[in-house]
Amino acid sequence: MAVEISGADIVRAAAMLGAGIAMGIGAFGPGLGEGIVAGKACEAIGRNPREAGLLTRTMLVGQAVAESTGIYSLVVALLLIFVV
Amino acid sequence: MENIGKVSHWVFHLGDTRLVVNSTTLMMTWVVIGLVLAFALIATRGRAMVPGPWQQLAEFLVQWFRELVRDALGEAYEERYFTLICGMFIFLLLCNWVGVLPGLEEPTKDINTTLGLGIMGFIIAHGTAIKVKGLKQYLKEYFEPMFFLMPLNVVGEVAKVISISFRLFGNIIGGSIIIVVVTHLVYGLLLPPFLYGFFGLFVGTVQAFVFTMLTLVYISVQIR
Amino acid sequence: MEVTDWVKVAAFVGAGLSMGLGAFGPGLGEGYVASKAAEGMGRQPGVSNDLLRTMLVGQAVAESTGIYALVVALLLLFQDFSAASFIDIPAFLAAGLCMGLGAMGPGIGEGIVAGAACEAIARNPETSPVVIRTMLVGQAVAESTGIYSLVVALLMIFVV
Repeated sequence: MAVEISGADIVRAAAMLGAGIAMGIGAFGPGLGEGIVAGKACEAIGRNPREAGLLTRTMLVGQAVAESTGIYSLVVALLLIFVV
Repeated sequence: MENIGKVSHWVFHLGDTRLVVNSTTLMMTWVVIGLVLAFALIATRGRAMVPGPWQQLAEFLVQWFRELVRDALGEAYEERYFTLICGMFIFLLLCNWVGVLPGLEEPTKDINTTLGLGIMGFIIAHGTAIKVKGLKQYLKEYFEPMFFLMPLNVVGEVAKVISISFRLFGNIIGGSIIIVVVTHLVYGLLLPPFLYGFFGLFVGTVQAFVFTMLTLVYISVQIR
Repeated sequence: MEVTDWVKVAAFVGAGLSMGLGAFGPGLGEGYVASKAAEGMGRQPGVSNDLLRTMLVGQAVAESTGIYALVVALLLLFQDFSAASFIDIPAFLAAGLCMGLGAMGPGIGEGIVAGAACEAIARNPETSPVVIRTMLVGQAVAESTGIYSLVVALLMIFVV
């Protein structure tokens, strides 16, 4: 069976691939970075347990900022899948 | 295999508006509410100085969460938020565990459950912030440290809701999909009980605790 | 070749990408955890039970993105290919790539968290409850981008 592949199909295919690459690489960086943040927080709590509350809050705020690029990737991927 | 990701619906028509209810999620949530109530009744009936096993479990949970809330929020807010945090943990724990029983499904497998809980936490945290700091100070903090960072701060707050609810949803649905796929492959002989133990009990406990802790920390970030 | 064949090619390559890349990150991260735990035990053999427990819990959580990569790979392998259409070709490839890379970063990151927790417990064993609590919360947050990858990959497999 011969299938006609039109320009619109190619565009949609590119959008799919783009969404995959965006979310894949966009998840890589924040995952690694947030891990480093939490690792340092654990180290610091081991050294100075009395500041555990402060350190946990700082860790979560820092991770939330580090994660915002991951959220942008998610938004772009969803836009590419459903809107384009 | 085919019913992965399928959600059963009840559709109601009220005039022009179409009302869709996820029936499985709704019923399973009521099952979990029943379990929580049963636990509360059993644990508090016939209280004694020398506690029985159920009372001991309940006392352990209450004491542990009381200390967590006091550490995070301080004495002044302990009483007000402790019930919310402890109740949320018990509810989520039973939500994640209930899928282990045959015939039942986790209500947290539905994004609507987790998103609802996430939005509830968001409203509580920001309502507390406005009450504690006043509206002016609350709004001012969005323009710190520099005024043009306002959009980033807003995105950061919305990202918290998305990440907290997607994390719970993704973990639970990932576990349930792999159980379905592996059962399909090995005909439910050996692996699934182990998988139920890992995904249902271990991951479920960790994720329920993480969700509760993050809600607590989001409240504590707002009031300090 | 017909479209169905090409869809199969895409699904199998996607499954390979997903599991290959998705095994790399958690593997590296878990190895790092074990190395830190071994280091701590060498320094303080008395706390080896604590360290072993922390290591195993940390590794189990760090492994979860690897398990999501496995989920996506299995779903791609055992798809129903009879109803496949042209758009499934890029969708399956992209789903594999997305989950593979998305499992790699969080896997390494969560390994770093658990490794640091093992170090902290070896240095100061009384702090272990607080450190384990922080470790679990930190790992869960580091995992969230991996979860987004899973959600996007599942959307590509089932919805598109």
